[in-house]
Amino acid sequence: MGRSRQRRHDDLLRQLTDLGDNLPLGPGPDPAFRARLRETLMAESFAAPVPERRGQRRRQGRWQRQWQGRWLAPALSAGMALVMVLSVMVTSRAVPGDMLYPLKRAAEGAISELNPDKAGGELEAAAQRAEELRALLDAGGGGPHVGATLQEMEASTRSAMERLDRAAPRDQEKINQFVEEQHKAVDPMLERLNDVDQEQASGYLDYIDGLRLPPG
Amino acid sequence: MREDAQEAECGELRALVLRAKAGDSDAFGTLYDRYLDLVYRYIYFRVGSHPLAEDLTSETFLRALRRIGDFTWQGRDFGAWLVTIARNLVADHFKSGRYRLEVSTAEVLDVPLEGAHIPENAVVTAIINDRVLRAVRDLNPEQQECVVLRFLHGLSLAETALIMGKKSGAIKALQFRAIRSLARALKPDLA
Repeated sequence: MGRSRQRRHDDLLRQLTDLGDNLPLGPGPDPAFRARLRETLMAESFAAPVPERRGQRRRQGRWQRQWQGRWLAPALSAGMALVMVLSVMVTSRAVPGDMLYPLKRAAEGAISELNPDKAGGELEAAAQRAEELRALLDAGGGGPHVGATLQEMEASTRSAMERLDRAAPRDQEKINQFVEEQHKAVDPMLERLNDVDQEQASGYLDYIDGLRLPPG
Repeated sequence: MREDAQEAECGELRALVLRAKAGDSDAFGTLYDRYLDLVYRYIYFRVGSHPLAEDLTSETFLRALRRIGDFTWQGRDFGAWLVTIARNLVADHFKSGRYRLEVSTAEVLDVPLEGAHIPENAVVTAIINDRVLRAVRDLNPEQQECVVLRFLHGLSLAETALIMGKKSGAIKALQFRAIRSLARALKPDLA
């Protein structure tokens, strides 16, 4: 930098410094505004809690994240497992007319599809209908669901028998056991059924009695 | 002696800031008294309107009060921190980060240039200052902001660097280029 240019540079720096030091920089804030804002800040300051340090917040945040990282996933998994177990329990106890009953039947259908012993699956379904029938009557029931459940119980039993008839040799011991258990389930219900349902249940019992052959 | 006074002032400022961080409203009030003019003038130079400058100044101090817990003491930079908040608010207001000196030189040079009681050298100084400020307005936005912060508001290189989000070396270079441009523009006046 030449001498004259350096002198100009220095003069200008001095000029700018003087400008900052001596310049009346126009009107500053209005005194009324100054007082008003001070008052607002003091009020805000008293209302606000002591400011939290960023480090504390960051440490707290990190701890929370670590805690969440460590426990959140297992807690969520356990929660979901619990919900699933409860759902299965509630669903397995559902009876005709319940909201979850269609879900129960859908699950039953899916399991039956996967079961290689179709006839055995249908016999179990018939036993399940007898159980539902008892639950309906215990709940002070009756109504249309009883007749429908009786019909489904009989339909499942007949379907199972058709399958068993096609298979040779027929597993008579299994059939006898089924008939006995169905009797134990349905017999006590007869007196609690209305006339129509009672007739239908009696017809069912006659049918399954016909399936039982004397041993030997 | 002067260094001792500066150190004492720095220690006092640090103590004020720490008290304000701990929730001491009187300490924050003292900081407000100390920096209100700087913040207000910075904003007023950018927006050129007193009502808007008042709004943005209020918002700057309210935001500072809420966030003072986040402020980390690194020297005499509390004013720079406040100006940074103000700068962001002005940028949000204009939706642009470009620096603009909105106040006219006549408003900045609030000196009556007429009247028998005005000494002749004061009139000459005012005229030169007016020309310098006009030249500052012709600088590019970054150079303009650097010159205004450094010389009109009297902030240090470090404080200017903090506000403009640059390193001190970059501010030094920016200031050098700005002064060279000003010297070129004001060559006839400075000759």
